[in-house]
Amino acid sequence: MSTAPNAPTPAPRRRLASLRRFARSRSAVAGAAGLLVLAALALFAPLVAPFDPAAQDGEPLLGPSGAHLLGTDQLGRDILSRLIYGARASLVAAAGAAAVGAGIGVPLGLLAGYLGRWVDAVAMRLVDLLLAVPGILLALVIIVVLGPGRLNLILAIGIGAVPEFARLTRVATLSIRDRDFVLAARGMGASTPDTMVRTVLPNVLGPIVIQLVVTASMAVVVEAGLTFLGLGTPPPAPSWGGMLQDARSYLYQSPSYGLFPGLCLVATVFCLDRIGRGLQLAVSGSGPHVAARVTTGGAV
Amino acid sequence: MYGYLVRRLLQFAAVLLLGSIAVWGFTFALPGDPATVLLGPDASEAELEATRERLGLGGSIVEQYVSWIGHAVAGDLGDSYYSGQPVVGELLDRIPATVQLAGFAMALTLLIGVPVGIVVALRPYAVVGRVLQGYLTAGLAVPAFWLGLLLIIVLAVQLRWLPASSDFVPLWQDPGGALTATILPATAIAVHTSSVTARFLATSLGEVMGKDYIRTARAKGVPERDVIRRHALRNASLPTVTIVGLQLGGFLGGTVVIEAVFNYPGLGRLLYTAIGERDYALVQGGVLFVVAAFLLLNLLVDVFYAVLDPRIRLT
Repeated sequence: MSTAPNAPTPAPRRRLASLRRFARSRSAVAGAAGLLVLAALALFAPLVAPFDPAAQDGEPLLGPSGAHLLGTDQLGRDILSRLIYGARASLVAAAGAAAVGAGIGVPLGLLAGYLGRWVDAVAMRLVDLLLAVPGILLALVIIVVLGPGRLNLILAIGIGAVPEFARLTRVATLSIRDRDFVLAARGMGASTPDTMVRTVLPNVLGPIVIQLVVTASMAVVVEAGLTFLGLGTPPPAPSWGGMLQDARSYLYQSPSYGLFPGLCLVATVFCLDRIGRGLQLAVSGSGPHVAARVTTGGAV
Repeated sequence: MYGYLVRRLLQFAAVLLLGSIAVWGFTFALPGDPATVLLGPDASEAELEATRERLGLGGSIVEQYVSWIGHAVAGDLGDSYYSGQPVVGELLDRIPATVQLAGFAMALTLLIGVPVGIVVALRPYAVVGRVLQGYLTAGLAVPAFWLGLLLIIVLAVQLRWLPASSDFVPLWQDPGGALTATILPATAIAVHTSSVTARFLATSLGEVMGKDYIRTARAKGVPERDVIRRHALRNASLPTVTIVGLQLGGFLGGTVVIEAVFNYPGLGRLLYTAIGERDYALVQGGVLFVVAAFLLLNLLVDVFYAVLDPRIRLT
């Protein structure tokens, strides 16, 4: 085969190898399976949930029992059914925020890394500024400006994830900008935008994919936190954060209520964390001490 | 060294400038004229006039910003619409509570995170290492505010050992009272942040342990304890310093939800309440303070970093 010296392994073959490494990690596969189950529950909630999540057909604040497996909330609604429907809010926020973060952050990082000079300076100062506001506070302020609502909630959480995407993409771009295969593409007449999108971007995808998962887990927690404060997912729709807010008001009457929505959050974040670690192993292929990449956004 | 410091200072100034512009522009992003936005619907004409003067409304856009930032630097961020008190005073009232919570949380973070990180890095396959790795995984997955809720349910509601809501008791007046009032929110925060810190430390320590200079140190007969303390930990602590600095910055204003869970009267709760009351002058001043404090803290971390690692000064 006659490939240019220094050319990276063709992307499809490399991806297959990464996928195989991912599949070998049992905990990563378990995490992916857990997430799939959760997504299926959310998608088929009407078929799976034993009750209508809005129906007030039980005694209020019952503990777990045969009729209501996890008990009822302050309005007599079935907690299990509300948890199943509540997965929707969390997963939508997770996917949406990751998409927003990558959608803004990756182009920003690509431009900063590839063009350098003042573009880099301006982009990085913007990133520094976004980093200077704690994620939850940033989201609160954005919601104040944009107003409440599902789409604005996703934007608010996603913007907080922009800096990480931008920094990762920039560093990865810098590391390959002057490699032979990029110069070759340029030499063959590819324009700057073309080189960035077709030659550079495919070769910096690894860290971006991992960051998508990290962002999703951050978004799940931030969405719950914002809804707990009453500024996230609007009330009639069930959401785990909103249920925790209710549970906090009835700590003395029904201590078990506060347990279940939190366990759902933990399980979701746990699955995403396993997937993230598995991807890290798959991409870097190193031993037990894989570079830790954790955002501080989870400290909500 | 000086070149590095000057560069960092310039960056700090640039980001602070950008940040102040963003915070200032915040009032323009809301519907209505900025003076009315800040003062609320039932402000008197005299109040409106005073605020318009402070904001420099009527001048060019640059004059408006300069007027606002001039007053801000002089300590005038306007008055809270809700309480009528100066914003700066309201912020100063809450800062000790937030700093105390941040201090407790950071102390716990380091007390748990550093030993756990070291053990996980040095004994990853031993029973202790595996158990602690389990703690790290759990700690990362448990949202701090839910852990806070659990702590309240178990320790305050069921066992009645500690109060369910945490007042601010100044440490310098009543150390014991301050401890009982702050320990629950601080623990709720620290379980997560210590897991992050420990994971970072374990990663970098694990990398360092494979380096040639560690083998050299061992080969020349340095006792293992000193190899770890003087050769490995010193080098591995650098990335951890960065993350700890970021965490400390995050504690100022990033603990909104925890403060709501515990009814703790800190900066986060002040801002959250202000948002609910549409007290935008307070929101604006509070965010400006958080941004400035965070940037200053990061600057200090970077300087500290340069002191620890001479290579940084040269790049």
